[in-house]
Amino acid sequence: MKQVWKLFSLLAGLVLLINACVPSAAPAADSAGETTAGAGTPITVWIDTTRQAAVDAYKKANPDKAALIQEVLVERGEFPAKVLLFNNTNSGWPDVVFAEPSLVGQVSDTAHNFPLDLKDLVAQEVIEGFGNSLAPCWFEGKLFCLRNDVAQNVLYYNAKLMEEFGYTVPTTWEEYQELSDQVAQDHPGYIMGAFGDQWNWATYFWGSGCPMNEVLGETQVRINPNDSRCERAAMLVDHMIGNGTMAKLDPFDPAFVQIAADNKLLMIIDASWFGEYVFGGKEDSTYYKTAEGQLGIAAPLKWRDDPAPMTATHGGAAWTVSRHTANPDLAVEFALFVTTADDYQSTGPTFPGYLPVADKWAKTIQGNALYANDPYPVFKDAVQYISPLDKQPRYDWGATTVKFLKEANQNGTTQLAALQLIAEELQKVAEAQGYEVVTE
Amino acid sequence: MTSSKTFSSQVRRSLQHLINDIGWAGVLFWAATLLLFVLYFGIPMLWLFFAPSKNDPELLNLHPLRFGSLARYGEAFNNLLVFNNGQVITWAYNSFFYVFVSLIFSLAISVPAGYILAVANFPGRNVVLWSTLITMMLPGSALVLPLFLEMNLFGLVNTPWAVIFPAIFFPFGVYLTFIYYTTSLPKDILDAARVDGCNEFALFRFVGLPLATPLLGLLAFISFNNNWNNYFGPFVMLNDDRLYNLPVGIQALIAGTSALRPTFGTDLPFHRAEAALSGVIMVLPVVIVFIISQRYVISGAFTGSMKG
Amino acid sequence: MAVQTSEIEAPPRTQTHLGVSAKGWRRFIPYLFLLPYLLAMFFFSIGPGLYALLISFADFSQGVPRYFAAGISNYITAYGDFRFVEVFRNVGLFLLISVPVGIGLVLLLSLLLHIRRGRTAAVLRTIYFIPGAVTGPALVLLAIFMFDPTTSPFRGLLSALGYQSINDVIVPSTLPWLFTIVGFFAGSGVWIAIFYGAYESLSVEVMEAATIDGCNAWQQAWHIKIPLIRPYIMYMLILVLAGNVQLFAEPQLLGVAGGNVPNPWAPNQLGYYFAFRLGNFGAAAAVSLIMLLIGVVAAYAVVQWTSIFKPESS
Repeated sequence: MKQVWKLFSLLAGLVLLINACVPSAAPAADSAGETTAGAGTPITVWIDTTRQAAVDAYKKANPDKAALIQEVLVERGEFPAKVLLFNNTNSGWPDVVFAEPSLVGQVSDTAHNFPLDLKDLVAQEVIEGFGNSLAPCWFEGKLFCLRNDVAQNVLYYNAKLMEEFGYTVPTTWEEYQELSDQVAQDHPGYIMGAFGDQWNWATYFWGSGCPMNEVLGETQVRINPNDSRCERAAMLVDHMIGNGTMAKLDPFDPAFVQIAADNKLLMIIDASWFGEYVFGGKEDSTYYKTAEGQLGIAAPLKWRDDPAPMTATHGGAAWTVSRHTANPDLAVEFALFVTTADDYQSTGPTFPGYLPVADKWAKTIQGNALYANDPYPVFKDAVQYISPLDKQPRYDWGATTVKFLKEANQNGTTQLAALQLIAEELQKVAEAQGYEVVTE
Repeated sequence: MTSSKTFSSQVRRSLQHLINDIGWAGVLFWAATLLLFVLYFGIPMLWLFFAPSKNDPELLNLHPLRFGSLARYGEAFNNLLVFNNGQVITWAYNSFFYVFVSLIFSLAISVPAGYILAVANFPGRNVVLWSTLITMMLPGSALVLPLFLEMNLFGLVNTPWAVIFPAIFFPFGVYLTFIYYTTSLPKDILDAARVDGCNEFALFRFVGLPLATPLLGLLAFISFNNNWNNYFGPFVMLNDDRLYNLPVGIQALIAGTSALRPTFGTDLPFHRAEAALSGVIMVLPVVIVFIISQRYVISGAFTGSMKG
Repeated sequence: MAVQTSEIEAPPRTQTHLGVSAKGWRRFIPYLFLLPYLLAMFFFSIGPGLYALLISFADFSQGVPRYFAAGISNYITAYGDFRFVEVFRNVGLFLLISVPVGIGLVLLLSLLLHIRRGRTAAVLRTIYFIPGAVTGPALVLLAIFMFDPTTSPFRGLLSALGYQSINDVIVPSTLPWLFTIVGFFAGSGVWIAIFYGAYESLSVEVMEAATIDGCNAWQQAWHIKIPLIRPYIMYMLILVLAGNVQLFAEPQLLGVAGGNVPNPWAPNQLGYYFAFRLGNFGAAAAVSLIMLLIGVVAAYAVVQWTSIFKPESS
């Protein structure tokens, strides 16, 4: 028993010792709600691991203000939850947050009421410089975020295989489907697309303009599975699953990675960052082994009778500023720097949202021997084709969509039929979130 | 026994004992079951310990239980620890602090409570017992906002105390202590001591506590385990990443990279190996505490108290 | 609650006790032992719990609670949600599988370990316990790799069951089993250790007497060990029942890992959704109330049921 007492007193002593060394409570920046506003007030910036470089770049370019930036590493998926908690204590909000536009959407409703309207705080040329990538940041005429990067979908293809088989790269969805029939006949086992998760669903359905989860306003959303644009996409997908050229897997499933490793991946429609991070542009990001000069990039497909192509995105984030910030000037300046300044974005990991700086970013990928053709013009072009549907509502549309998508895949039923089930449940989910659901 | 037997003959002898005890079929069943569960628990852990030694393609292509390279292990270690000036170390430091302080305070208040519930009868005893049970069933998600507001009231949000104080309430420990004392405390001793004029505090100190060694061992590792892995509480209460404990910190660190699922690109060297290594880092202290505390559980086996 | 239910609820009457009849200040000694604990209970559990009950009647549409402004509309939101029945049905299925499996296997393994105490038992206990220490991204990684037939060390078993991809393994129909597997993996080690500790604390004399009387290990286990640690079993039964009703981590985890895991699947996830997706803490409290009630009813039932059996030996 003596040993137990000894152990305890040892622990107690240890505790007192550590207590002397442990960092004390954070400084007042987190309760900046009602304290002195003004140019000298520090701001709190919530970032993820990768954006530490952005903060460092700002501090390097603005050494006089470096001490005013306090970055905190957070898991941004929980950012809306934190905002709710802060609203209840009326303090503690961060000033600038790195988050996807869908999260910004979640915190822009009445209960959260978090973002600051940047429309009048940002120059018009700058807003225009973002182009179409800024679309998900507009909420009923208010600009709630600035786009950090954009992950527009383009058509990747295996240039060597296409040449070997004597195929031409499709430019329309109809050609894509026809090609799939040919491939199924001549070279069965080769894959032309992935259909396993919500991003794949968006690729085909939002790329067709299908009005599912079309956000019309803060309280209105359109869900119409019977629209012809939805049906044509569903039939395309079902057709290609049927002839075996569409894998019922998501692009990161080990089985799909195996397909790519076996060089059976003929083409896939996915995001601009796939080149570097999935096809092996970067040394340690080797998902699909790709030989040099093999990866071709082509523009997103369009439906023959449509005026222009439409494409979806697979990722891409933004920076939002709190309306409670005590130093809006600094906060907005910071947000502008990390999205538009050359210092950071031109060497960033992914396609910048601000197009002028994207032109400079082009250099980071153009030298790569991986590509069969210059990827940058294709990427840049594709930004304007991002579908207006690619703006996520406050409810979790992905969870419902994936549920029925996978069920259909497993049971062998059609994605066309699944659409009805998806729409049915989405309606209830949307209504629970306070939306009115319309079909026209 | 001082005869020098060889290892194999010792094994043979204990096997014989075992067979006498439970029969041939019994031994087979015993061995097969225990082995089956060693595989069930052990294989995933083996995978986890080996995972940091492989890079992503190797993790997908090599046999799951193959060891990759020691160099990759070292690299993962480096990547994790070097990030942002060794933030992971700060988080580990914080974790230890929160856990030890909670442990000491929670044991200090829980053991006496469980003890007195077991040995004394007084008005309200059943109420306390039932309350203890019921509070264990209060869903955490309901208490998030109230606790947050309460801590805010005392100005403790974003301080270590917002993490430590709620953890001091340890009903599981109180009830376990209660059960422990009711099942293993011989009633005659208490009576004898009371007749001798001992007051309750002395009784607790000289009779109750000495018998509590196995209990304390159990409680210590349960408390340690719960608080070491506590994510939700610290997540809600802390907004400064210098105060994060390991679960919150690692989650924030890894969730922002492509280590688990590449939903966006990143230049940082955080891949699956680093995520797996973070798991290994979190597991090791728990294992050590478990092993140490188990010693107390065994050594405190019931001896001596009936005599004298 | 004032009813004397089972043997463990009240000490035997034969003993002289610090009872109500104690004189003067001595009467308050038990409360002194309890005071710090009761304070902690009030501040960190009962207090917040009462507040949660209060805000279940508050309106949250403005982000902050307006007390009593919602009447029972939060309850209607919660109980009328189209997923309410589904999540309780899911968790009910899960309970049916996980509770008997969990308790049965914990008993079995702890008894088997205790047959040969010593170093083997210590090593095995540690191996059984370690998985409980894995959380967070590492656990997600484990789930991804263990359940995917292309990467799992268990792929022999998985393909024998006909699974080719992780999408075959993680489907709504297998979820109660998968959550049981993961839950047992992570949670049973602690209970095995507790039960083992309980066997250790049993009187050595009784054990020796039994052996002399000719009991073999199985009889010892069945007739002596198990009945003597009945309070521990009861405790585990109550906690596992109440705890599994509040299933949260496993569905969240497997949802991230892959396959088809609907969200919300379990009631606690629904509560979480109300609190953090809708900002309606009142509705979350309403869901929590149901989960709590189920746990309380279960506890009461277990305590009542076990009082039917009088202890054979003392």
